[in-house]
Amino acid sequence: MVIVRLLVWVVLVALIPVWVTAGAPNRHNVDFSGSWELDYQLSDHPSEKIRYLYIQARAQAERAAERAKNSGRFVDPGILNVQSVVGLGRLTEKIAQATVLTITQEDDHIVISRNDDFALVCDFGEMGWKENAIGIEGCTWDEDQLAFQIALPDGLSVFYQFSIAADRSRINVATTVKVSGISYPFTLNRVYMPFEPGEGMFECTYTIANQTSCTLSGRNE
Amino acid sequence: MNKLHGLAVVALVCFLEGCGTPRADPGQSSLPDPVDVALIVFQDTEVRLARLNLSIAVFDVESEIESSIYSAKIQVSSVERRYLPFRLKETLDRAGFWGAVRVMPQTDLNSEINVTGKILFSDGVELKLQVLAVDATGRVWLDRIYHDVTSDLDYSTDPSYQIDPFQDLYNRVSNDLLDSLGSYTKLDRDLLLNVAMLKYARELSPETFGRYLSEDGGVVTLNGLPSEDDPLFQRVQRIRESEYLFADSVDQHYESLHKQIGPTYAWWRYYSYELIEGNRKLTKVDATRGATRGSWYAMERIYKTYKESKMNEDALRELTNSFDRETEPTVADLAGSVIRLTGTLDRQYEEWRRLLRELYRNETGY
Repeated sequence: MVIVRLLVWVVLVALIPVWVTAGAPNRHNVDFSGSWELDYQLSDHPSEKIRYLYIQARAQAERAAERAKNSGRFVDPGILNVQSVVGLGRLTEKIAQATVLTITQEDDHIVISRNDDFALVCDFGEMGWKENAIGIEGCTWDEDQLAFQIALPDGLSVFYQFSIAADRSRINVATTVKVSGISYPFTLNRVYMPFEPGEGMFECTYTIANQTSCTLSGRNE
Repeated sequence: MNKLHGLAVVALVCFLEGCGTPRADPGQSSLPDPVDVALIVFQDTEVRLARLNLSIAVFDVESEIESSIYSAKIQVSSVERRYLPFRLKETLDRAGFWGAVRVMPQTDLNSEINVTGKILFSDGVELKLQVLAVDATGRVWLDRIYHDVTSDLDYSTDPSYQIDPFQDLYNRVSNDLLDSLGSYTKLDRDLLLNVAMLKYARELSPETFGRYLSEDGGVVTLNGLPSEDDPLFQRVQRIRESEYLFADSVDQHYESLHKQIGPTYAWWRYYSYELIEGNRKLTKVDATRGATRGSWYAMERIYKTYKESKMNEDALRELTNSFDRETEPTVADLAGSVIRLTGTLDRQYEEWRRLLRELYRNETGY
């Protein structure tokens, strides 16, 4: 267990070069609150990005293999495994799947609720690392950006960086996933624009016991 | 670079000290083996003696103060401190040796037997409870730490709130209380009933009833009894009955919590167990069969489990908040008037006791 925790921390330290001291205040008075929906036009398209990075990685691997062949050096096959770009990309796509964000922010905390996903919660009074049942998670202000970090077993790390345009017209969420043993992380930028939540046709509630149950316009149907 | 260096120091300190809320590391502590404990239940052939009432106060939580209000653990603890006493109450009811067993928002110092508890640790794999039971005379029946661990068998089917993986622990508490009860003769029981009633009377009117009891170092001695037809004492008994009726209503709130949040809590515990056990198994797999590490299937599985546990925490947080906010008002009958009490159960209970004291003063002039 100690070794696993150490591994988690090593990965954590390696992933975030600009992670600031725990407990950094919201000096820029950034406010993310509101309802936000995905702007497909401005957001990264996962398949395109995966294809692009795959081609890049393959070219890089071929060059590295060529150099290794010429010099007779050993090259870690994991580094040359370009297929991992696809795996990492697909995993990132799943992790960054939210299309709607509902953000409530107070002076002392923020709750970022995401559709079909868990809420990212940050208590500004207790920023820093917290251990949960399976990994370690934390949040911090990095200047005017809010960052969340999750470190899970097997060297899997997820890093969310939230930034907002000065005119509050867009929020960018950069989701970076890194796996130990794979030298390149995968980042997906998802851009969200504000919207007024109206009376939708369905009102859905998630409970762990009943899973998701929906009612038509808030009535039981 | 300085920032990176700073992070490394923070990470190292956190690693060494264990960041976040303290949690026993399953990998570092050796757990006792799960033990099956059968609940001893009342047999019809046993001699029927006066049944003593038990009051179980909502449990305390060890790390409550240190935890953040937004941390999921505190939300779970908030449920557990009200949910677990109800499990104990159910077990004691099933055992059948007791009168009314009630879960109360506060410690009822005037009850015949008062049970308090503190949740020292709870994560789905382990439950550690400190239980203290003291009777009206101040005699300690039980002051023990109970520790139970679950096994795969406890979670072999979908979790159900009706089947508790820690039932053995509640059975043990019930059996231990029964051990103490066994040494109580009919006379002892009658004494306890009288002391409990007079303590209540003394609280309402120390001037009238204070002389019947003396107290030394927490031990209460009965000096005498008021006459059976003493009108003041009869009033006290009526008011005590009213308080019991209210207590029954409070008890229904906890039963409602049990039914409402039970399935969710059972799933949370199941996930927590799965996460911790899965984590432990993953560690073993990594140590012995390195080849399984790093597969995309394993990565997805880890993330999925984490996501489910977090969504579970979200659901519990919402449910707990709504329980706190939407505690139904209690409608109670007091001397012919219908009283509507609102606010948290804790506040309702305080208000009810204040009204009862007021009623007594109005009726008696004391």
